[in-house]
Amino acid sequence: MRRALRSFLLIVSHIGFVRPVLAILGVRYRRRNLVPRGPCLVVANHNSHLDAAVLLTLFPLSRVPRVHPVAAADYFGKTWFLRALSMFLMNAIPIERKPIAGSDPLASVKQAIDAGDSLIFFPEGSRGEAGVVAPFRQGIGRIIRAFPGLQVVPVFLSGPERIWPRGQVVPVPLSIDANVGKPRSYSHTADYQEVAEQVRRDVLALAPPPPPVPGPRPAPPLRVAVCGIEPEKRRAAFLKILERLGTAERTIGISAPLMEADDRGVRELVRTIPVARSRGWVGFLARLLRIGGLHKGSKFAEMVERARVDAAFDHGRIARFVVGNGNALVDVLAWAEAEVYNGKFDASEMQRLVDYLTGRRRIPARAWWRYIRHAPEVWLLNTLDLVRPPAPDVIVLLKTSPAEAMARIRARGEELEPHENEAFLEKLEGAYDQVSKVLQRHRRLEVLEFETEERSAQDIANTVGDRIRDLTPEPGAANATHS
Amino acid sequence: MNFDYPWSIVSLGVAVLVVGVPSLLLASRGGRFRGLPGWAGFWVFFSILLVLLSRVIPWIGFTILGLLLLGSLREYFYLAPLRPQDRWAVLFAYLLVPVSLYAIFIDSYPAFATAIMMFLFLFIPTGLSLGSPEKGLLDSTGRVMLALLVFVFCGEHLAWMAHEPSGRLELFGTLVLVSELPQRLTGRIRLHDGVFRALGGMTVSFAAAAGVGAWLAPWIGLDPREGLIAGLLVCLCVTAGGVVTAAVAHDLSLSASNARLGRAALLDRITPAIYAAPLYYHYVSHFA
Repeated sequence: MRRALRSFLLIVSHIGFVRPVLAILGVRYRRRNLVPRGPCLVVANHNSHLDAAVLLTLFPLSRVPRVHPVAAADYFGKTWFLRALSMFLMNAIPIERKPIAGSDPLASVKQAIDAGDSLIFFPEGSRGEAGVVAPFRQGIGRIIRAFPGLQVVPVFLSGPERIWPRGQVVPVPLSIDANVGKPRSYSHTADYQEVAEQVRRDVLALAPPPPPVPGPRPAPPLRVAVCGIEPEKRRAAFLKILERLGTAERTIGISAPLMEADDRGVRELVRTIPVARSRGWVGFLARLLRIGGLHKGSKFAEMVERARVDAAFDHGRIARFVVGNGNALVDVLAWAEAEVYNGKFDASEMQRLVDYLTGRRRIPARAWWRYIRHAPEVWLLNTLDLVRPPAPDVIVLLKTSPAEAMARIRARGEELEPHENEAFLEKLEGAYDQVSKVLQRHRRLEVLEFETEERSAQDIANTVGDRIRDLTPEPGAANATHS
Repeated sequence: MNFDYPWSIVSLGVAVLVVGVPSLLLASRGGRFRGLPGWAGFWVFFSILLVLLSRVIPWIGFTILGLLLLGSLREYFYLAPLRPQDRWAVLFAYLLVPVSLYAIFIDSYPAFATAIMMFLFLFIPTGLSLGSPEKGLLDSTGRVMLALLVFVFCGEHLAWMAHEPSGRLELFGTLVLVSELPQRLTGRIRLHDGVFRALGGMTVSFAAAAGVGAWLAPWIGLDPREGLIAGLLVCLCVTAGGVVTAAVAHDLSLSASNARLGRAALLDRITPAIYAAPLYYHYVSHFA
């Protein structure tokens, strides 16, 4: 009876107060449908008292009585008002941040999970400094270890830290974004701290690019595209260049997986860049237009997604360098030359194609049929405005003899793709060469050529790193010149 | 049969319909056409608001307009963040909306002007200057002032038009739509992106707005020449609003690839719609 009354009061307070207030603030959810229907552990960054209320609204009203934010007993138990607010309005479970020796501070949390309830957990332990995600405490690791298979839903909240940060009395209405990640379970054999680190990485992966703040805008990142016909050598060089540039400044690697490099080394950010469901039809269209052709439909959709991710780093606030294992613009141009133009790719035609690919011009309707037949990728990208692939600043062109490339491809033991033959690879190699030369003339980019038989990946990376150091001005150099 | 006031509503309804149909048909082309259905949907709501302001009990229209302007301010301050110590300036900016709307409700232009001046020149600069001496004061001031000028000063002239003879608000809505459609279809002026195509769209929109203004003016008590001038003025301001919106989006690095959950959509739709309100209002009420 008491539980039913409490549930009723909780739902009424949510209908009458919590949800209307959040509606005024304007909460927008991304991928809210990923929250599982069964018991789960929602984990998020924590900068404001609003966070728990926002996360509670991820659940339908009928589930709210069975969802408990985990609250610090020492803070929310200080006064009867705070106690009532957290226990009755938010349905919170209190835990001791500084437990008495011998007691299990997470006992009430474990009890709730055993009962099939869901929890909202802030592993930072405290609201902390606005906009900063502090290291996660071990408690989250302990819970995950205690409940193998428990679905953990990472969520990144942006907005509450500006509305009502720590130390402010009056909240300022601004918008809130709740970015929900895919639920997953973690290894229950790993160390507590290691699990906590993994969860933190999953939460941070959902963070949007930081909003622009008043002041001068950072320069766009310097883009390096590693191109060539032999995938394995290309990947090896890509990783080494990523590592080398990472030692200088934060660098993002565009490949599958998406990578990040800094002075602590190279790490995976996201294992595979997911193709948005809404763009699945793009792959279908590509397949339809090129039956039995060279570009697989799914590969095309992946390329579009990768180029979109690449373009999203344009503001330069996240990384100083972006290294790509390939580059959508260069690859599409080279394939078009190898497949369609067969050596007749003059500078003006290529400039036209670059304009189509970068969205500066539309393909005129009278030329549609020609592009649909010969270069459907260019037609799809331009007509549907799928993405405007960013042009690289430096092209690292790896030259491999087609015979050696074919030998390596055959050594994989997989079924050969239609384009995997010596004659076509030779044409493609020549096409990359020609495309980079024309781009170099017209777009002032740097082309660095390497024979892969003569140079190791590390050697290539060192040369590229030195050249890029010459290209990029030292921080403060511009100011020194002005003064 | 007296067609005096229904015609202005009918013309607005027809304009929304004319905008809605191509928007739905063209949306599948992607690119700049992708946002057309959302824009047409916004105009369905905005037209209802204009009719409410013009015909129904004023406080209902005033309340909805106030909420719309507050929502726009909230989106703007989310996308164009200020320094942490500028919280009080943001609160003052929100407060100005009900205060100035009340001045309009009691039909006192001096009270409205005083409220705007007090907040714009006194409270907000002072609020921004207090707090820790962190760099970026001028940038923050610019951000707040632009918000107040567009979403409070311009937006609230729609409420002023509620005091005008009926039909003028609907004519305003029709002229804005007629001006905006060709520019939305051909794209806005950007240095590297089809200047000639954008100029073509602008020419069409100026001609259409002037023509429609001259044609509809007699129904709301203006002569065709005044309607033509009103059309040209509205089109000029809509073009300026579009240019300003695009420039602000560029300054904030907002593009299709990094827009944050479609946050900029409301501002993209409302700014050109309200940018023309002050000039149109002062022209039809004082010079026409």
